[in-house]
Amino acid sequence: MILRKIATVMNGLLIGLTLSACWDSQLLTNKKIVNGISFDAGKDSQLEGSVRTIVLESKGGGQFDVKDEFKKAAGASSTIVASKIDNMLPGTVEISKTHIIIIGEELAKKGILAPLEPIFRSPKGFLEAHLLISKGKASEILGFKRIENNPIAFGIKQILEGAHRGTLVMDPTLYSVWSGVYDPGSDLVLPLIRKATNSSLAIDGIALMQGSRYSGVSVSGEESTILLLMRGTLGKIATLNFPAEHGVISFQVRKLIRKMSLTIDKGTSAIECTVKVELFGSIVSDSGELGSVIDKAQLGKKLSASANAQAAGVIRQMQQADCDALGIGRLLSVQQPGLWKKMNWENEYKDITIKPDFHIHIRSTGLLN
Amino acid sequence: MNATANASITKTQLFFLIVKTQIGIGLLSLPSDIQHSAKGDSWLSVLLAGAVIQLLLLIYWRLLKKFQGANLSQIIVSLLGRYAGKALNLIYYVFFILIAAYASTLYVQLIRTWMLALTPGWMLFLLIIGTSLYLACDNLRVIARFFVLASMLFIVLVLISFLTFSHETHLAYVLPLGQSGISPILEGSERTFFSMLGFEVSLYFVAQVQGERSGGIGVMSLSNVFVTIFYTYFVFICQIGLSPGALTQVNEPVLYILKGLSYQLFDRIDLIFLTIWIIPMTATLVCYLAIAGKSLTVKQPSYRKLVVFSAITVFACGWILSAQENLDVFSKWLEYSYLIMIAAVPLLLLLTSFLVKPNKKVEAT
Repeated sequence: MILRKIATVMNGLLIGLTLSACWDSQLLTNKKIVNGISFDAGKDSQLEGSVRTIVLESKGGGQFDVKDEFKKAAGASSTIVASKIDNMLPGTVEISKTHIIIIGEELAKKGILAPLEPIFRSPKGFLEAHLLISKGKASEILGFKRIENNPIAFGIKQILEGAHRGTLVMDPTLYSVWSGVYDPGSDLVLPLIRKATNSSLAIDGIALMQGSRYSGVSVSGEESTILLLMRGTLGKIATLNFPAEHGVISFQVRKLIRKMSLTIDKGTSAIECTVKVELFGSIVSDSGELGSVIDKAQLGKKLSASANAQAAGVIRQMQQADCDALGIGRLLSVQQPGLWKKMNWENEYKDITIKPDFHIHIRSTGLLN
Repeated sequence: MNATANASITKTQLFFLIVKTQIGIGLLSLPSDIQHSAKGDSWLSVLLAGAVIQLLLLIYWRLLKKFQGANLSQIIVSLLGRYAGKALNLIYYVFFILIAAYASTLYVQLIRTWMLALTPGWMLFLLIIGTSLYLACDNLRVIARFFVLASMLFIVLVLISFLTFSHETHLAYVLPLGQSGISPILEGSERTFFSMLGFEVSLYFVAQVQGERSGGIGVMSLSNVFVTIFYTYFVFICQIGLSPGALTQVNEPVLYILKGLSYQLFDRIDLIFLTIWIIPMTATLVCYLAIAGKSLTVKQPSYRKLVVFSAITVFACGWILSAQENLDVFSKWLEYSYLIMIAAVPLLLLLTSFLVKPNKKVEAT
C-alpha cells in the first residue's frame, strides 16, 4: 500500500521533472551567438548598434571553420536595435556569450549606462563582458576586417588581455563597471581602442570617466601606466621608459606597493593627498651607456624624480577631467566622514592637491651589470 | 502509531531542523533590502536582529521548560482549555499555511526570473510542493535526517561565496562603523528579522528531542548564532563587493555578485548557487507543512491526511498569490500579524502560565 503510494508520487515527480524542461529548453541550433556588440550615437539621438555573430561552417570530418558576420541597425534604444538585428539574422540572437562591448566616443560622452542597461537587467546578460571605449566610431572598430583570421571580437579580447598584462589599461568587465559607476568616491578608467593603421587595431590608452560619462580626456601609452600604478593596479608587469643623457633607460616593474595618505589643513580645510608608490623591478635596457656600471641607488633616485614629473602631468589631466581615478573620495569618506557628507566632491576634487611620491627600487640589472 | 508520530530526534538534528528552516529565500534579497535604510551598517542590523531573536528564544525556552515534553499546540490546549485552545491552534495553522504559500510564491517568482522564464508557474508550484509533501508526510526523524544530510551543501555554498573575493572589494563601503545612526540600523533589523523567520519551529520540535531537555536552549541558541553569522557574512560580502548605489538597485544581490564571475571551465556560478539554494528553500516549506500538521494533530494517520490537505491548500493559495499584481500589501499584513503570533502570543502564554494552574495533562486532542 505504502509502496504503491510512493511509486505514484515518484511517477508524478518523474513526469514533472521531464516535462519542466519543455518550456525552457533552448537548442543551440536555433541560436545566433553574438560575440561582440558596439554602440554609437546616431542622428537625432538615435542609437546605432552593430553586432558580430559567430557562424560555424562545417569543413567536413567533424571540423568547423569559425567565421563571423557583421550586422548593423539603428533605433531609439538598445532593445529596439537588438530586435531589429534579430530580424535580420536566422535564429534568435543570444547575448549570453558576448565577450566584447565597444561604446563609441560620442555616445560615451552622453553616458554609458543607457545602452547597457538591458544587459544588466536580463538574467542572460553576460556580466563578464569586457567594456571598451573607441576613438571614433565603435562600429568601425567592430566592423574591422579579421585579425589573424580570428573573429574580430576574439582578436580584440586578446589584445585587451595583453594590454592589461602590461599595465597599459584596466580590464573592466560589465560587472565592475556597474559597481564602479555608482561609487561616489571614485571614478572609472576604461580602456580606449583605436585604429592604429588601416590594418591594425591598438589598445594603448585610458578614457577618464566622470561617473557614467566619458570626460573626453584620455591618457595614453606610458602615462596610462603611471596612472594605473598610482591607482595601485599592476597587471603582470609594467614597463616605464625614461630618457637619459644618451638614449633611453627601460625599467620593468614586478612589484608594487601603494599607499595613500590624506592631510587636511585645519584652518583652510584644504585637502592634500600624497600617493606613495613604491616600485620594485629591474632594468631591462639602458641603450645609452653600454659597458658602464649602473649605480642602483643613484639611478633609482634619478628615475623616481623623472616618474614624479610625469605623474604630476597625469594628475593635472585627471583633475581637469574631474576623474577621481585613484579613489581619493573613498579614502576621504572613511577618514573624514563628517567633512565628506558636507562637501560636494565633484566640485572640490579639482582643487585638492595630489602629490605623487614615486620610489623606484632597482633590484637587478639583468644579465649585464 | 503515536510512537512513530512523536519519533524522537537528537539535538544535532534539532540544530539542523531550525537552521534549515531559517535559511531560505529571504537571504538572497536581504542585502539590498537593508541597504535602503541601514546603508553601510547593514551587517550590524543583521547582528542586532540575531540578538532580538535570541531574546525570543529565551521566552520560548521558559515556556517549553514549564511544559516539558509538550509542543506549542499542546501547551495552548492545556492553558486555554479545549475550545479556546483549539481555536488558537487553528489560527496558528492558518498562519503556517499562509507563510508557506507566501514563501513558495516568492520561490516560484525567483526561479522564473532567474532560471525558467517560460515554464508556467503551476508546474513549478507542483514540483516544489510535491517534493515538500513527500518529505513532510514522514515522521520528524526522517525529515531531520534528510536535513542533516543536505546541510553538507552549506559548505559548498560558502566555498562558492569565496569566489566573489576575486572581484575588486572595498572595505571602505562599510566604513566608518555606525555612520547611519541608530534608527536606520533598527529599521534594517526589522527587515532582517522577517527574512530570518523560521526559528519558531523550535516551539514544536524541541518537545521531540530525546534525552535530557536541559540542553535545548543551548541548541536553539547555537542555531541562532549560526544563522546570524551566516546571514551577516553574506550581507557583508555583498556590501564590500558592490558599491552602495549599485547594491540598492539589484533585486537579489547574493546571486548578482556571483553572476559577475566566469571561469574557463564553468560559467554562470549564480545558477549553480541557485540550484543548490533550492534545497534550503524547499526545506523551509517542508518544516512549515510539518508544524502546520503538528499544530492540529498528534496522531500519525491524521497528521498525514492533514499534511496532504495543507499541501493542496498551499498550492492553491500560492497560485492565487502569484496571480496578484502586487504582493506588498499582503506581505506587510502577513508579516506583522505573524509577528504577533510568534512573539506576542508565546509571551502572553508564558505570563498566563504563571497565573493559571494548567489543566491535567491534555492528551491527543
